Amino acid sequence: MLRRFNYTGRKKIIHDDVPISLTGSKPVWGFDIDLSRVSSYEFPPSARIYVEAYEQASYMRFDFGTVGGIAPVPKEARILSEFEGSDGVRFRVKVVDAAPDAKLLAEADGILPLAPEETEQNRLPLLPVRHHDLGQELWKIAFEEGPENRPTLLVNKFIEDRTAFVRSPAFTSLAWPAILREILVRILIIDDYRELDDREDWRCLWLNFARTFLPGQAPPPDREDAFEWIADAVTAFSEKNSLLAKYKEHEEEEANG
Amino acid sequence: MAELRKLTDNGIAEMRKFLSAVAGDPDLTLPDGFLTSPPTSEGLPVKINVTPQSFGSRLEAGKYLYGLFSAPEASGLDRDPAIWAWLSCFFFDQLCPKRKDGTRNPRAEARWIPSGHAFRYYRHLLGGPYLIYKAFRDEPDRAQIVLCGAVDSPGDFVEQLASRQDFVQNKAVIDAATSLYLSPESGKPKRGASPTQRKPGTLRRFVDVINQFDPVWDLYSIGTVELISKLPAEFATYL
Repeated sequence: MLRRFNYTGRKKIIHDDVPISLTGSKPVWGFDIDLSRVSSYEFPPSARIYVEAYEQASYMRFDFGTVGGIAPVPKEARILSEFEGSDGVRFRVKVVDAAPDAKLLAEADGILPLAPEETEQNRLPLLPVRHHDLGQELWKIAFEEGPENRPTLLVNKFIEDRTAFVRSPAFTSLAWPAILREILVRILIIDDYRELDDREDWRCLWLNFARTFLPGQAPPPDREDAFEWIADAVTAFSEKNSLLAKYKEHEEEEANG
Repeated sequence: MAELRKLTDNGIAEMRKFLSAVAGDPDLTLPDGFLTSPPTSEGLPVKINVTPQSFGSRLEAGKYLYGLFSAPEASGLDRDPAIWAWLSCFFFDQLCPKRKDGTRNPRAEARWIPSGHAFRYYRHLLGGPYLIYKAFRDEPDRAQIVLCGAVDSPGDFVEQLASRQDFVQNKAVIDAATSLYLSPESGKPKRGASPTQRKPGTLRRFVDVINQFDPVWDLYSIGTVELISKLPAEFATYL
């Protein structure tokens, strides 16, 4: 993965400071956004705030006024009409110095909005679950470019209750160890990434999550050792969540009808 | 005229086999009934008629397909890869014409069955122009540089510009590329505008420069004229 360095003085807005959630229902979602924490970044009051939704070639832009005078777009205008039927729309929030030439002061890009079932917790899970057309495949992990873009667990769109599906004992016991392994391989082997204190990088969040199962053991720098560390993390994860017991329980329930 | 349908899983598996086989046997055709009956295709909840025709350009294809999917009752159908796969088969001869030596080359699968990957959607020979046309439907001429090509050969401008979401979503960026590189006389890209090397003022330099601008300015606040005025002098050759 290419690293982009920021020599422009442009600030990065933390995703959690501009939480976005989808509202309404399919096929055309609306959205809510909380911009109250933008003021803590000390931008000039006259700087403009734009919220942009995008997917593939489609794009919508919403003008939320200025830092000093946030003017929420009315609910009826916060409709994602360009993304009808989509589960994959992402957002960026920009703070722009409108005069004299639209200098970009700050940005949060690649924001995945909270799905309605996630809004209760009011924070994006480590692995958001989204529907997708997967043919005969039931699930897969989707990785997007950019450290701010958390991977998503795509569930076949024909499985209606995706939340119940991923929480089911069968899925938990059979799929979650494979998911953890795939993500850690991506981070440690493919991306060769080891940072543990960059809370804005999804890879750091996942490494810290894995470390909760291996207390005191940082990911090793060596590639072969990293494979072993991943295997240990998956084993410890399975132990802690009693996955075999869960699976057997599920089998018994199935057998007893 | 035919009624629009979608390929079944069985149909998509057969299509993959066909695409692989037709490279070796260019006279191969899809079996009778492949597009009109089970087990390879299935009907849609709405009736949409597709007319066989020859598209003069990606713009024409995009416009026609936008017309197909813009009816309220067709809502959401444009997100179904199995429908795009059916359309690809329906227009197969046009999307994969025989070359001078009599062979056919279907190339990558993403040209026929849409890839779920956000950055590869543009490769589909019909879905790509459709999505760009849809995004620029109010002023499609602004996107001519990525819509002027033939449906079977999108070309380098599509690869360099449409593959970058930040670019293709930005009307000023695409409009600026059209202003710089589209010949008003021929309606095609100017000769020599997209060499593979980074020659001054050419397409790959344009991509480099926009990538440098992107972290500095909000390019969505900037109009086409202003954006062009910010370009270095090397681009004057193409104005």
